[in-house]
Amino acid sequence: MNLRFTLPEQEQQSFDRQVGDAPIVYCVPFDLDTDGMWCCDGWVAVTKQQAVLLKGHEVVKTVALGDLEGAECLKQEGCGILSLTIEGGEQIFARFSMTFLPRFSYLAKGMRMLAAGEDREVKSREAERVCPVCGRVLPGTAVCPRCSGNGRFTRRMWELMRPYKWGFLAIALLMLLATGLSIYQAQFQRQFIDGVVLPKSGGLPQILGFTGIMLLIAGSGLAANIIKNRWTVTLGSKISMDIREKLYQKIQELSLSFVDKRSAGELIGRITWDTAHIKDFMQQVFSGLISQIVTMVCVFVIMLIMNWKLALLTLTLVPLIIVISFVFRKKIRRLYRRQGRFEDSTNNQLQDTLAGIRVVKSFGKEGDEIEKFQQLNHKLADIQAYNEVFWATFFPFLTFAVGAGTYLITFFGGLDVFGGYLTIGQLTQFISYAGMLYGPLQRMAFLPRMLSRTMTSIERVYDVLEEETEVPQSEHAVDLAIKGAVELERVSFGYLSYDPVLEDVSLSVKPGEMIGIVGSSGAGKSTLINLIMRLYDPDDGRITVDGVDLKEISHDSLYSQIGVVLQETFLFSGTILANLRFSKPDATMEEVIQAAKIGGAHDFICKLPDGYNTYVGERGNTLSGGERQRVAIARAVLGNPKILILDEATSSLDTETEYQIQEALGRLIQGRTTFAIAHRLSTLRNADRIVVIDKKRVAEIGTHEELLKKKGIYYNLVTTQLAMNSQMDRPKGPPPRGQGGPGGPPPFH
Amino acid sequence: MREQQKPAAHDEAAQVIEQQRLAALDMQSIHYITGENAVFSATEGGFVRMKFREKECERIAVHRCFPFTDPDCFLSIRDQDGNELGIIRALSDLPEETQELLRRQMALRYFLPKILKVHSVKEEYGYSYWDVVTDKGACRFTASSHNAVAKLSETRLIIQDIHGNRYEIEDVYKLTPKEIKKIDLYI
Repeated sequence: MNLRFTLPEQEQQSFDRQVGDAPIVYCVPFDLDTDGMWCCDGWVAVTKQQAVLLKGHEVVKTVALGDLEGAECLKQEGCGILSLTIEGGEQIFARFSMTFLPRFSYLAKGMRMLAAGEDREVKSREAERVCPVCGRVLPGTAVCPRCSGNGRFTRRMWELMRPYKWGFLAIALLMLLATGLSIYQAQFQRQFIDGVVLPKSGGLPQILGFTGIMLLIAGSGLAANIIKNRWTVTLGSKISMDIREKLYQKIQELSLSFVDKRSAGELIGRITWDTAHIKDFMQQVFSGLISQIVTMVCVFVIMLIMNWKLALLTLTLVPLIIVISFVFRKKIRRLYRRQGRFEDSTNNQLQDTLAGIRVVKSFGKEGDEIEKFQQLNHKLADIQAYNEVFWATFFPFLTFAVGAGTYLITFFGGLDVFGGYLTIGQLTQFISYAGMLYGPLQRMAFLPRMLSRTMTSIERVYDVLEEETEVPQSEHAVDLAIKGAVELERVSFGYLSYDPVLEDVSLSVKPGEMIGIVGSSGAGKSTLINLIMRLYDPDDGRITVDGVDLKEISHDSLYSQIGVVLQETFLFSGTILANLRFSKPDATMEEVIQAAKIGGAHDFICKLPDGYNTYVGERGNTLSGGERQRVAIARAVLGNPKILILDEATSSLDTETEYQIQEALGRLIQGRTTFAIAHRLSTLRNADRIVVIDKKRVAEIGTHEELLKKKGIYYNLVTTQLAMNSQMDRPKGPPPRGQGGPGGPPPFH
Repeated sequence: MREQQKPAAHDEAAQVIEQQRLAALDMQSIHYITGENAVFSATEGGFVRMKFREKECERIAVHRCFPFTDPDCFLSIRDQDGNELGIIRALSDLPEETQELLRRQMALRYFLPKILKVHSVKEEYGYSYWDVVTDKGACRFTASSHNAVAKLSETRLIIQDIHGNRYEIEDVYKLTPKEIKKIDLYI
């Protein structure tokens, strides 16, 4: 996202006059004036010393960054405010609509950093939503498919086709052969009419001969076409397979921050739909379009040679046919779009009431729902009927209009025949050529749309393929036998770089230590472990394992020594055995069972009819939440990790099972560095130290006893949880007393 | 019952729990702000400060509870961190100048241009490009062709553009038939 727009000339002049030639670090336009009306002449420009407000082509306000105590982008409803704090008072600096809100969030962060004397520039990783050149919406890509030029498109098309260039050459040759044959067929017909039929010269042998040759021509044309079509389809499928493979590989390699920016649905769309569009396009082009164009050109040249007046007459109708087919298609598309839209809303209505049928019935609203649906249904029927009638009436008209040219030729050609300028055979040839000229025209009306769709698809595919891996492996990455010392040095990170989730976090963990991480939801606990797993790289600071920067540790050696149990346990469709072995494909049966026992999964697995060979459905949906979690724990255990990460690993279990698994985990974590996030604090009783994350920072750190003595956030959390537990025993009793001497820590172990 | 719990205050653990319980209770009750119990004043920077129940807040935010159906009633007044300080039952209950102050604050917070005139709507590859006149001036915006329009009622529409700006059509049938035909595909 651009944070340094170029000021228009007038604004720049005013800026130069009043501010001087200090280089502009950030420059962003705003679109609302002080009264909340749209405007298009507002700019905020920031140099290293000043924030400058421009309005009406003039500098209207400057603020020295030295005086700045705060800068904030306040999100309002449908708009935003850039608020600056100067001398203890907040003031409105600029207003803007949602269009510029993200930019001003970055700008505010940039201003705060400049005011604090930090020399780092804020950069936005987000892509622009709208093409800055043509104003069209970008299809989730970095480059506008329609502004990038045709060269880029053809180059990429060629790149995809190159491995198969000989195949395409063969197809092109076959295509030419088939085209030539169909053109020659009409020529041959003429010879037959003028040379044999009309003069009535020759007998059965001649007729047989001509028929035979005609059959031969038609037959070989047919064969060429069939072979060509088969090859095109095969090549098309191969190419789309190639693209899908490349895309999938790239998406797997790309960092999570790329995947985060796009929904799973969108990526699936790119793998399936966009590759299908490209394949369709190639097939259309090679099986039809090129030969149609070649045919049209050849046919027209021959017509010109035969009778140029008649040929030009034929040509005059071409624009008309193009216009008629185009208008017709546009109208039809609009009608069916409207119908589709209405069908969607009817379906939604159905989905809504059928999914909520219990609610409808329990409120006795069946009658209302029936009436609502009937109304929609009738309207849908009306729309459908209208569209069908329209289609049925006008499509024959279109065919007629396209054929109209032929009647014209018949008329004028007929006159020429009487005048002796044309033979009957030539006229027949002419009429078949006119058909060959007009036919493809109406089919080509869809071409602009198809071309544009393909350009978008190619751009969307290459957008992924050309994306640079954000968490690249360093070239001198080493295989490290991890001992387990983890160190975070002043780490800052945000999913959006203007909105930090963690700020300045430092933490030093000894090998084999268990660290409990607590904090309110959204405080950044999960983000912290995401960074330790190197799913993201920190914006600032660094993370080391045994003194080696995470970036310097090879991908394989890092992930083979980290074991993870996440809050949402994700199992793949497959057997339990396959899921367990995900972390260690060559694990022996003994190892698998041992791991399952530690995870508390062995018992329930044995009770399943198919044991470890039980097939779990998509996302493991045939197992209960607790069972999935136990499998996930076993899966992490099996890899024998040196660093273990437990993110609410036992939250879906009942208390008794949780206790058992905690016991087992207690044994397991011996000698492994463990990070455990938990809301239920009792699960952290084995922790050597507790880290409290609050307001993006490490608020407290220490052992359970130390933190209790501190009487801070952790103390509050512990007492509240104890109170909740005791209130469950005595629902109406007073809050717990004597849960520890006055001032002393409540008993916890 | 609550009175009886007070003696437990010497126990620090219990004190913390009691505080949290009171906070929870406090969250559940409605505190009405009236002309008598609160003082509003404008700050130099263009915001509004409020003094209410011995607490002073430098920058309040005015949230409408029913922005579409009852824009001037039930205004939730919140502090910088978004915590509710109290609720104004009806703006008209307050003194004139306070009303004016809060109206300006709401105009700052809520931006929902009303579409008065539709010049053109062009459709291209899944997005519609609108050229309209609103009560905030003329503007162009781009919306997705799918599900960008929400129907508040049979006649009242809200259109959301790709950046998250929203535009209101108060009454579709007040537009000219020509304009209705232009937006017909989306409603």
